[in-house]
Amino acid sequence: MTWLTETAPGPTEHDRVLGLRPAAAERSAELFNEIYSSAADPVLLELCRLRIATLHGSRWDLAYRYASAVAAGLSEDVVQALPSYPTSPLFSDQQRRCLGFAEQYAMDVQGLTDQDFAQVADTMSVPEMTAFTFALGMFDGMARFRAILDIEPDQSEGV
Amino acid sequence: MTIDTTTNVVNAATSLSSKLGAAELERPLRISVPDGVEPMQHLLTSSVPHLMDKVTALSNAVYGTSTLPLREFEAARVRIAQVNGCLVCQNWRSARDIPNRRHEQIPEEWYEHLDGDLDWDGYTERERLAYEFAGRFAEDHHSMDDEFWTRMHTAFSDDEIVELTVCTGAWMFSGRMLRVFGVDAATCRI
Repeated sequence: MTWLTETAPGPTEHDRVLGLRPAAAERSAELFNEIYSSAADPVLLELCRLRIATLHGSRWDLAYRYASAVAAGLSEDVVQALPSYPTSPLFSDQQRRCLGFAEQYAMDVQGLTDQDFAQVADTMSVPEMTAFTFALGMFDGMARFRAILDIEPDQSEGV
Repeated sequence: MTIDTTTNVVNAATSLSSKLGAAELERPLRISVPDGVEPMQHLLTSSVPHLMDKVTALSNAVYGTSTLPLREFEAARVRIAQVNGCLVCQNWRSARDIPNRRHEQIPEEWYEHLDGDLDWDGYTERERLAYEFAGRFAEDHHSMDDEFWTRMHTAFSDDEIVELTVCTGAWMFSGRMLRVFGVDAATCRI
């Protein structure tokens, strides 16, 4: 449970915490919805979001699944195998490249090399690469936010 | 209030170019940009316009509604700019570049001491803490231990901590975006 002693009204802890800054929360939710609804591969995005959530220790993010990713075929077996994505046969080469890029982005963006960039960018159009990087930015920022404030998932939000 | 993000970041970057070393300025641009088009403009408005509308709205929600004192806001923002290595963000000055904060002036000396001289007597404890918070947020939030939180809770209300966290997350997002594509350095070269 979050350590915050002041929260806004809301049905879930996530709503109660983000309700303290409703304008930013609403705009953030709209951006997330657009990211997922316009994504060419929402499963890939979801895997990257969950990998970043693991690195940052965001319990809420780890419990939550975006509906469009589930509808597109996200498998919980694959989610469970994320820690071994570099070698697991459950992941495609493209997923491995993107997950590696996501890790580097989240942990040390200044250490991201031209080669790191190219191995993902060469497989995408510029709009796709831009959208993918936008998505990673949101995943990274929000996972840190939720981890730091220790936002707990509600039962209705978990898998 | 709506902030013209693209124009403001280009202005911020352009005024920084004379202060940078060659290595930083030569960092490669990682996307192709049509001749005659400013790289930042291209990335933010041409590549993914459907997302940019939402990003601008989020940015306005953060910059336009913040109630944090400007120096605390800037201390945290500058720390994120340093961690991200984003040149545009390092030269952004909110008192200059955000219309509704132009009445709040911060001398350039205040910014200069943020580069490794936090003991400078021009800083308040809240400003130092905002800077430290942002650094831990970006580099190792797992290091936010009980001792750190005791200091934070002594200086800030929960509501202020949430606002600081929202702002810091938004800065992480925007600065890293510019850095990854190299458009921060490219814009500074103009």
